[in-house]
Amino acid sequence: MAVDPILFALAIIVIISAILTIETKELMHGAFFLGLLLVTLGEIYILLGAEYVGVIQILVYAGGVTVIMLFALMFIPRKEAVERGETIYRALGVVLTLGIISLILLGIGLTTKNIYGGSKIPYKDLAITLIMQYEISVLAIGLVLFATIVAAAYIAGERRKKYE
Amino acid sequence: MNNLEFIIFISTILFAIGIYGLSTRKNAIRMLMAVELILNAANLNFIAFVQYLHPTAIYGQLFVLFVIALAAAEVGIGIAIFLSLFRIYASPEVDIVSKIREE
Repeated sequence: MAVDPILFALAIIVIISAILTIETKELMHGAFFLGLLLVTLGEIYILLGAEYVGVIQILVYAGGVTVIMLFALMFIPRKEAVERGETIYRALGVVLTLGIISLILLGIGLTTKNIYGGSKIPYKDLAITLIMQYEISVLAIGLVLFATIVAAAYIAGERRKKYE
Repeated sequence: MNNLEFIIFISTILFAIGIYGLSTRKNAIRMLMAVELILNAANLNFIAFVQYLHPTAIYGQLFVLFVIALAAAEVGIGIAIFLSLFRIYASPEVDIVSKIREE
């Protein structure tokens, strides 16, 4: 079976915006291309039938993470937000990347079934499983996020007296 | 090449681009973006495998939700450390700390 053309188009957008995320000179443009990539990945999730995760991806990732990055970029001066192009390890990075690609592609088996279709799970079951079976994990995630807020405020907070 | 193999291929490319960015860039925010690419490659694998191989299972989508929450936490901490370092050293590059310490 051939590849779905919509999926192919979305995948092309994902790959191009991923390359541009890493390779653009201006960090601000990189952040915008990261947002484009995250929204397109959310569309791929919706196309694959995982609508709930797709919506969460667009809301939390593209809406939250990208805005945090843009917010941090606004704090630094504009001349610092441009990549200076001094990348010593570029050849090493290319070799490492090609090696990893070939290793993973060698490892992927060819016997994969193809069951294409919409979501087969009712989202009520997802919520019930999340609350009943994974309650410890949900609580742990909540604690981690709370600790993140406190730690981020502590790390980035004002400590002028100590360093002046 | 069917759809599942194509998605695994795309996910591999995404992961490799993330590794490349993480290993060649010195800018802290650019490195955080590369980490996001790697995490999204993992998420794409989760969704593709659970939708094609076992579409009635809940756990694939569940773990993606956990990964998204942890990625948001990771970006928050990373940006905080970056802003703190930038306030002290006035440079967005991560090797400035060891450079200054050597001098």
